[in-house]
Amino acid sequence: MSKKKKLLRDGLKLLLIGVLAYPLGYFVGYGAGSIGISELSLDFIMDFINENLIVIQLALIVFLYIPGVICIRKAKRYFKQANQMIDVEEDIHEKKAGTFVYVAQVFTRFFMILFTTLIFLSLDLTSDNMVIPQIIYVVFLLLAGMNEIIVVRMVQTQDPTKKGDPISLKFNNDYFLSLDEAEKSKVYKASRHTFIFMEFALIGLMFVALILKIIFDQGNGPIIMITLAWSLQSIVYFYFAKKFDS
Amino acid sequence: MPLYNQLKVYRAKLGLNQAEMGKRVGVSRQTISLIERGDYSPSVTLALKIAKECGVTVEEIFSYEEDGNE
Repeated sequence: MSKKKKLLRDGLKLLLIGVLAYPLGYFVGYGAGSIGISELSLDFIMDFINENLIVIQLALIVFLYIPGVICIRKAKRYFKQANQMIDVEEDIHEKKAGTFVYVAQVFTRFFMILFTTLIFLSLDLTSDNMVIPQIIYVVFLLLAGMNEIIVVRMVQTQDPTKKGDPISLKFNNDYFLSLDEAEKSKVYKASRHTFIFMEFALIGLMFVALILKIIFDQGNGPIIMITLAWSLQSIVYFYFAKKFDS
Repeated sequence: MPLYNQLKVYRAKLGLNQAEMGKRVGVSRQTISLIERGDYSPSVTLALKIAKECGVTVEEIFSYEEDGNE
């Protein structure tokens, strides 16, 4: 296929996407507004959070924090068993320990994200009822942070070649540099998939922000924040792409 | 991936387990396991290090065979 034909084909594809996307945006936006659902509000969610803040915090502790701690303990036990094995080849205990380390990290990470989001959503400095939730937040965020450090130290004890101080800001870089080539390859693959996914996710989130503005009257805040995140990701990507190109 | 290897055989000849072999060539036990299973193709540097440790050439441990469909 000639260059001209290829360019024409690509242009037509883009036009088709635009033609399909425009009416969709129109119907969701102006369509929704015209039939009166622009009056919908998300206040009931905020009311629910404010009325049940401590209960939601406890639920997050029970369903995310405690399972994370249990996984860390199990990983510790399997690492101990792996070290007692004489035959270290294809060690099933080490694999199980690795799985529990992974699951513990997932639980702890989501606990920290949701716990922080919850307290930020409900933050009202004029309210007297915020003292206990804030104390719970600070204590458990600290404990969750400690759990992340415990996991790193546990992995480093098992494999002393893994470097980096988990409290240091340079930890991620130091840890990455201490990985061997196969481990680095896994990180590259995970990063590439994350970047490709985020490119689509940000477009999706922008669409959600548009719906929040038009239907739920949430203003331009979400759109601005997503624009900032999108721009920041693009700037960082282009910066490093150029840096590693030269 | 049409990359085959005899690493397990040569490692056994040396009487080393995966962890010891990994330590000698500067990678983790899991990486040696991945290479032996054919799930990871090592870099040229690592392949040379492994061959040197086994006292043979790279070609004696690693062989590349064209896929029939290619």
